[in-house]
Amino acid sequence: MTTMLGLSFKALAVAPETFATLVACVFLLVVRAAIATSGRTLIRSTARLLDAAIAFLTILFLILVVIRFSVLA
Amino acid sequence: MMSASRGASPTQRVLSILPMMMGFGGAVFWLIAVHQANYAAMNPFGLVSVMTWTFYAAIVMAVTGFFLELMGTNPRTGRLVALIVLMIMIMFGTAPAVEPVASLYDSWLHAGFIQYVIDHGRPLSHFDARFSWPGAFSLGAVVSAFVGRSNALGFLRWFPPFIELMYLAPAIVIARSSGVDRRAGWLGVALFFSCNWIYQDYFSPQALNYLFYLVIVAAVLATWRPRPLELDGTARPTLRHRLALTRRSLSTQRLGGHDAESTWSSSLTLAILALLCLILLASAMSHQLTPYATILALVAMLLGRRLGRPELVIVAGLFAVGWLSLGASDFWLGHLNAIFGSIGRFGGTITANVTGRITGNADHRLIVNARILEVVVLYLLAVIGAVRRRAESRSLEMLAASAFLLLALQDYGGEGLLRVVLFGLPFVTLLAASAFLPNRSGATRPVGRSGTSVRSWSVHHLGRRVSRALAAMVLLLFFTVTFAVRGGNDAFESFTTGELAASEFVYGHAKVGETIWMATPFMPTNFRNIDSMPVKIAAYQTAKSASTVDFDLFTLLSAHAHWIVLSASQAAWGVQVGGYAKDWMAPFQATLLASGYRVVARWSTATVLHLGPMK
Repeated sequence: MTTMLGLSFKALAVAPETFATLVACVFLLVVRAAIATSGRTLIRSTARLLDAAIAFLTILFLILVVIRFSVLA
Repeated sequence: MMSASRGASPTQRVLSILPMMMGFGGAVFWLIAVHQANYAAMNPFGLVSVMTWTFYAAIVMAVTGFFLELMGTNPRTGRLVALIVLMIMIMFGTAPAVEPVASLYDSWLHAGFIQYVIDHGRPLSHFDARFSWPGAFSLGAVVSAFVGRSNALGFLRWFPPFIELMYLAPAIVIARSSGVDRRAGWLGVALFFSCNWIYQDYFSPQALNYLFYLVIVAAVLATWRPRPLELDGTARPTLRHRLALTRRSLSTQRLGGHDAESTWSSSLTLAILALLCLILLASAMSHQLTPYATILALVAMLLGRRLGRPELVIVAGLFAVGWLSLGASDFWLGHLNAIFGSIGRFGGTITANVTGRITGNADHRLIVNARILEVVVLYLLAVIGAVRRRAESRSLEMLAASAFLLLALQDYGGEGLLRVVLFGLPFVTLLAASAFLPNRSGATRPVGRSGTSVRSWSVHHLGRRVSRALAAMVLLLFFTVTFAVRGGNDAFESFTTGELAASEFVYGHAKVGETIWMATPFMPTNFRNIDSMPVKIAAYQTAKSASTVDFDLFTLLSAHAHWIVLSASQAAWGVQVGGYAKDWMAPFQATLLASGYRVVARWSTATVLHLGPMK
């Protein structure tokens, strides 16, 4: 666990924007899955906003990863 | 049950306990066989060459007992599990019981990685690609410390049967939840353990991650079931209807997970989702390939109406790519081509994975060819099973096929095809079992002539008894062949106590900064001091197939190695795989002695050389 935490902090230090985007995206995905699984229905505009935020963060994360690969490799 | 048992005739009672008697007899014969086996008599065919007739009697009794129970009027789960456990011990426990120390160089190396984490509390940077995915090594360090050991060496020897036994529970859940006939499910589980010659169950991150993979697939299949298809119940679907159904698997409805429904309460489903996310995170940190195989399996289950939450696929992808980008940068910095270079080279990867492995002398090629033939036969049976069975969903076929997409991503150092077979094995074996015991209910119907049901085809043209007898023979054949080819490399992959003592001797006498070399791979070494005294391998300094005795000599002499360890396993690898001349080790050692090396320790299977006299 210490190793994992250490590596996570290292990742946060070397690429904070990528790490933060990843965490935010996973958080929203978990929220979306939790709401859907629990049977609650969101109003359409909220559901669309949530989906759009997830799509935006996923694409942003992939772009940041590609940039990181192309810059460092 | 009790009253039925009391009312049974003596013959019926004997028949009822016969499977367990066969199992007990098999266990006794197996114990005798491992006691009688003479490891020192092993020839190039490996483990199978040291087993006596009692071993084959054990196999026949275990498989027969399993089949008698399976085909009885009321197969009992406990008995079937007990007989499969016996089959697992025969298949995967024989090598640890017969061989003096743990086999495979890589398992010793992984113990060395864990030793480093125990000593330093962190993985070693820029040493080995595997350390960029350190999750399993960290877990190994935690478990070692938890049980009060200073290293992980005690886990190596019996790890293969232990982890295979761990695979049993998810394999049973997959069989029960995949929609195959109940008996076919049990036969599929038995085939799963009877066809696994791939030897990825040694002490390694991939063995642990394969457990993660099976657990994830089992949990998803058990949690979600497909919503019924809107089909005309009477008419056999036309080709156009089938194509329309196939197209529907890419609809927004399907991709949104709306074609599957949870079988559990919402709170339980939510808890399972949370646990699956944790397992996906652990897998992403622990192994290079398994997370991507898991993503493909999740996509297959989503398209096959067996996964109700598409977020799980995205989370798996984010974890895998995120760890590669952020956590594994030590690995890809400077050689990104190793990751992305083989993307899309499907044909080249298959060629490299098949032809690249058929090397070595005639004995070794015979073993490799037998492995390939076994896989081909298994996949042919799976195709027959897919054609014959009825099902609610074709997710099993999709899961079996999805693993092949891994080849389009990575050749994985020539081992990609092995991993495809491994990741597809739980599903391919269930489909192969369906070739003999096809399911007879389900909206998705078998391919065949209009009006010909599976039942009538089975009963009138093949015959249920003949079909079951064939299944028993196939299981027995697969089990025996798998045992032979799985241990086919043991002449060089297993080690003697002398070889281990040679390694211990070097570690006990070498000073920090001195270099330790071997001529060819395969020695129980690199299990400690991997940072200060890494053991290097001359044959690995070039492409494995291009290595020669002269090249190895040149490498050792130009490296001015302080210590060189030569052993019987290295000699066997050179002859069987490296293509070196028979008895190449004697002139090789003589040349080293003429170049200033001295023999400082010797065992019957290992020799330690030192450059100049020892101080």
